[in-house]
Amino acid sequence: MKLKNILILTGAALTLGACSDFLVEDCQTGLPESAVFQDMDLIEQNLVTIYNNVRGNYVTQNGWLPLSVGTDETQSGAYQALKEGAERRSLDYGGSSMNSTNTYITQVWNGHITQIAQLSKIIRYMLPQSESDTIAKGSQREQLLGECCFLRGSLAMELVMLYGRIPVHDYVLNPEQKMDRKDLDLCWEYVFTDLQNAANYCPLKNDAQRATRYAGLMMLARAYMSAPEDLGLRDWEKATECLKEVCEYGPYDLVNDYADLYDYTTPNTKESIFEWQFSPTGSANCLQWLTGSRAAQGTIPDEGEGCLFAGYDHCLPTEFARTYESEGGLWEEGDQRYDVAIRTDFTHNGYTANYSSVQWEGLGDDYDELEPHIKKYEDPRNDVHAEAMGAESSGKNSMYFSGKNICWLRFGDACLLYAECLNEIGDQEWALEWVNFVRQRGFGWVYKKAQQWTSMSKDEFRSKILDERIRELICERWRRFDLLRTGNYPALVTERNKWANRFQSLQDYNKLFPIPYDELSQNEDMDASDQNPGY
Amino acid sequence: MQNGLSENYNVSFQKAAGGTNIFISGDYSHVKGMIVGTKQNKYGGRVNISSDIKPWLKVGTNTSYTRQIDNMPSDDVYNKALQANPLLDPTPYFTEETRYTWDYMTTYWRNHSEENNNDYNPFNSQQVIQDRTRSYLTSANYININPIKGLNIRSTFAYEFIAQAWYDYTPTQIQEAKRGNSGNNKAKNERWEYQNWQWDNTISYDNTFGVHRINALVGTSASKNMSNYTMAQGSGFPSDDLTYHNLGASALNETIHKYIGSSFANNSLLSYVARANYTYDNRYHFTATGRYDGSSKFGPGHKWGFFPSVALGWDIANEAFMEQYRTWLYKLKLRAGYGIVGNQDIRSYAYDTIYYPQVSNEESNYAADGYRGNPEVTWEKQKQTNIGLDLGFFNNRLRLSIDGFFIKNSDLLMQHSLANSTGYTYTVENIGDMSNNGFEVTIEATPVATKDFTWTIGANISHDHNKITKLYSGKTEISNGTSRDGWVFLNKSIHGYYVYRCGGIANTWNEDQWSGVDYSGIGKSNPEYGDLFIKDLNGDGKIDPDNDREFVSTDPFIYGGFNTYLNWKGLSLNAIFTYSLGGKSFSGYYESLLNSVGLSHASTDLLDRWTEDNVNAKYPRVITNAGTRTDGTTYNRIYPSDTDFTLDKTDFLRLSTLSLSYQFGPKVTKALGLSQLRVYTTMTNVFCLTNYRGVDPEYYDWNYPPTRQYTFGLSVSF
Repeated sequence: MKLKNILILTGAALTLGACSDFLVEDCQTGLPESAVFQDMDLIEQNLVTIYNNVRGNYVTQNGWLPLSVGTDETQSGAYQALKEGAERRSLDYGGSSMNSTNTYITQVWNGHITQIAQLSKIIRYMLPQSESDTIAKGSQREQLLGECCFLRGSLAMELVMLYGRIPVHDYVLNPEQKMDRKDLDLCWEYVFTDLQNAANYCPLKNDAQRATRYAGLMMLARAYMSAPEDLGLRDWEKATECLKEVCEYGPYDLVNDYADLYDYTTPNTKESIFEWQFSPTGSANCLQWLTGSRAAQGTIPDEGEGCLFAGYDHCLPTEFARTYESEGGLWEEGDQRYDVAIRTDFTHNGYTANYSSVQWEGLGDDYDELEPHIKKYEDPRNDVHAEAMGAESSGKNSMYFSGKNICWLRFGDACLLYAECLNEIGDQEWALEWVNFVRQRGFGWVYKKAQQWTSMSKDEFRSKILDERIRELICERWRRFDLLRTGNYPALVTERNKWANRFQSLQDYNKLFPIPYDELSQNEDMDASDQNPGY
Repeated sequence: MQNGLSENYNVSFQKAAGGTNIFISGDYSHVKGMIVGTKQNKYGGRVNISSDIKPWLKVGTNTSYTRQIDNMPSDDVYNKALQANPLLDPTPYFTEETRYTWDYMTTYWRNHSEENNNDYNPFNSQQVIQDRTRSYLTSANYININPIKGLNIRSTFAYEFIAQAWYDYTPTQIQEAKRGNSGNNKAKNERWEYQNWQWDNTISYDNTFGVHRINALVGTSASKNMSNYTMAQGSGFPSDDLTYHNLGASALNETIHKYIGSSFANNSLLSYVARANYTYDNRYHFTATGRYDGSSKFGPGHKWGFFPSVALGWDIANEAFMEQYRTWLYKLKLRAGYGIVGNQDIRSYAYDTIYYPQVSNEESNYAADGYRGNPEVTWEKQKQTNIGLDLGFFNNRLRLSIDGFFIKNSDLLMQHSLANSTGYTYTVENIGDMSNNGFEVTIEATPVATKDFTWTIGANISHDHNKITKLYSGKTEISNGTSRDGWVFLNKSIHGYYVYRCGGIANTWNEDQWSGVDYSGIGKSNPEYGDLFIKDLNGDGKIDPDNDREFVSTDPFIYGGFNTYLNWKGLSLNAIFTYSLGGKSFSGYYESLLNSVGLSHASTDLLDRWTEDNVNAKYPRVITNAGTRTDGTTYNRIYPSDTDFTLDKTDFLRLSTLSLSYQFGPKVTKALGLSQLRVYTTMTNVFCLTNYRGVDPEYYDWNYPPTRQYTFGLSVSF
């Protein structure tokens, strides 16, 4: 029996190797990219996650903070500006720590360009693959293409305005896919093409946190308003045309009460064109952590970080942006937006916050934890006594989890942009109508003749509209872009930002952020000579 | 902290009769650790059987099972205590009424300058419960068929099963709950299960014909690892009494409180092996092996690798012409070999970009997680050439081994970061080649070997030199941005740091080295008297990350150990030393102490810091970045951790083990009816001579602190 049977068994055992499937082990907790790109619904899911990742640019320190301080409307709190690490301080007044290794600037770059690259994969897949391939009107493919172009165009526009010449990921404009810094006219052509595609392909209506044609038009208008004049790329006519459709024919309107825009019980209003969705128990934005007061955290008993206006004074209004005209500031008597946007009262549950818990900071005359703060991001659901305040408690008991929605594009902003364009093309009469419309709502519909804007010079209108944009949009992450496109950076910042003014170190070259060292050293198509001048 | 205690008991039984050998053993150990709350109980048993069922059929099994139960304190107990202000009064902890006041719970973070409210009170952290159980079953079984003399057909099946469970509980009243979980208690149960089987089948032939001895083998080997993981977590229990035992009792339902997760992963390996050994007259040895290995970790078309090896040996001492030297030359053997070994130690599914579901705002969607798949990834190959010489003299009372090895790793597998413009942050690639050449010498001698007294000494010394010899696409370096580690340079060792070199402390007599150099490129103020300054390596008058950093290798030059053993009439003493020379390392903990400017824990070394009265100090002046100066500028200090200032030598000499034991003689054992009786005591980590300023030159920082263990034991055989 033995030898023959044994040899047969052995042969069988040895042929185990014939099972080539034995070495195929696929991931059981995720899908490979090739599987995702075969299914339109899975691609849409991927897009939703990309929206969430782009939303990350509106969250806490890394995405939101570097663009929200260092302007003429908001600045860092005294402790952050004077005692925090050099990198953090440079966000307000430049200097030597505003360099390519600055982690805040690197985070802004990474938060934009990674998503641009991911979107480019989807766009390439969605575009016509051959002569005979067409995109059916109203199809899911068309919609996804439009939304991806909206996101990519908006991200690319922010990057070009912040960093200058950027790599162009589009497969049509850059078929060799070399990631070197392209010339500015190619960069802006990239932005215009994407946002025009967004306007063409996005649907008229869409779910929350999804793009529509109107969102595309509004961003396209911004692009035409922001592109460099000296290269002949700025186009007020085209911008006006886009905004006309949004403002005059779009389904949007101003909400009656300005406060409703910042009330968690009324999200996604009729004024909202594109709104980032947050929740204190899900994805929070943590912005109150940046705009609140450390003095409140330390001295309101029983609340600590669970106090409505607690925070770490990272981002405060400048003196100009928090005082009335009578004292040389920005605000007019009767403007209801002041009380909605700015907190002057630090009393809660019968206790008033005081400076006793922050004596260790040693700030001398510069203490500002109890100066007026931004109120827009306070989320009463996170207060320890939420129920007593009439709010639905989130159970988090900490301002860190502030999670109100953030309206990225809204009708009020569109009206002001439209007015700005109309003034530029010479139709100031119509422009004044739109500005007064927004202002009237800001004054609670009690709008006196003295407060109305009347005919003025084109230049005066330009500077007044800049001020009006602070009143309407303070601390909504637009100011740096507005200053850059109107040529007022760094002049107005050095004038009105306490720290830029004190140290006088913001230079002209600070208009552009430095290209991050991590990108220059690891990107094969870039080297040290690709850095922006001055860094 | 407390003195730890470890106890270990082992009993075993053994019998060999009628072609069957049996070994059965059981053991128990108990450890009480150095951090209060650390405890471990371990129980285990083993059965080894081998039996000649038939003259041509032999079967056997080695099977063991161990169960281990650990109770561990939270990491915060040690880590936060390490950073805590030692002047704080802990008495509120000792009474229930004062233990949970807001004031006492938060005192540890409020007494740090930056008020980091993640610094929990380490005393209260002791109430976090962490229990772990592990069951480990391992079984190796074989069946060997021997149909004709010299031919063996053998099948081995090995199986390993590990089940691990981890349970933790955070009670309501401590800061971890108040801050991290909105004041709610929290329980978590986690289960892991690993299975690993390996099935080898071989046919071998072994025979001796006169002066020739041959041995040949062919075989296959297949193995598979399977793992899975499940976890469940809940918050909002009615009280802290039931701790983690009843997860269903958790009341809070939002996704941040009720959390579930799972994961499954498999890996497999398939190999074909062939080997031939030939010995001529016990003097010349020759071996050749070939392996063909396939791994599931690599993608289609890249799964297989071929790994041959060949070795030669020459027993010179057995040669006829060496007869005359046999009185004193016991052994002289020359060895040489060359072989290739494969390495596949990377993450699973490295060849694909995987999209994982991500949950946000009550929706679950697929997205890439930052890893870029590399379809080309394949086996890393290590090619090793070695030459060795074994010598024995005076009836093997003096033994010497010298080995030289030349290792070349090609297609080195390495995970590295990517520029974000790629859309990803990291990937795994076969990035290049690395060489590691060195030698090792071992010497052992028994100078004294009499009936009553034996003395043996031994020493070994190793040296190797590591160098990256090739990088992909002709690159000369792989960057890791502003980090000081993770950089890879062509023609340098893989171990090292890319650092700014500290030139010393700025004083009047070295002004030409630092005055006028511009530090704005790295965001620092130009140094003033008392500050550290950085060497301007390219002499261009400014410091920047591309031109003024230098790669410093941290490999030791030589390392090894020596030991001595003395035995006199049953009483023996054994001492083992280890040493290393030429290595370097940073100590993160020491750096944090040296970086202090008076607002945090500081090293006592800072007592010798630069002041105007102490300009010859070893350490720089201490000054904070706060405030502005009269000229309106701000100050950005150059910290010791910004340079290589604390890159210390890790040279050490350690007496690792010292043990004393006594084996009772036959008179005593026979009288007690025993076959063997021995008592022993051992001390580990007796002393360590080093100038390294970190926690430990061998084990570095941040692990369980280096311990000294005293052991007392008794061994009895019947």
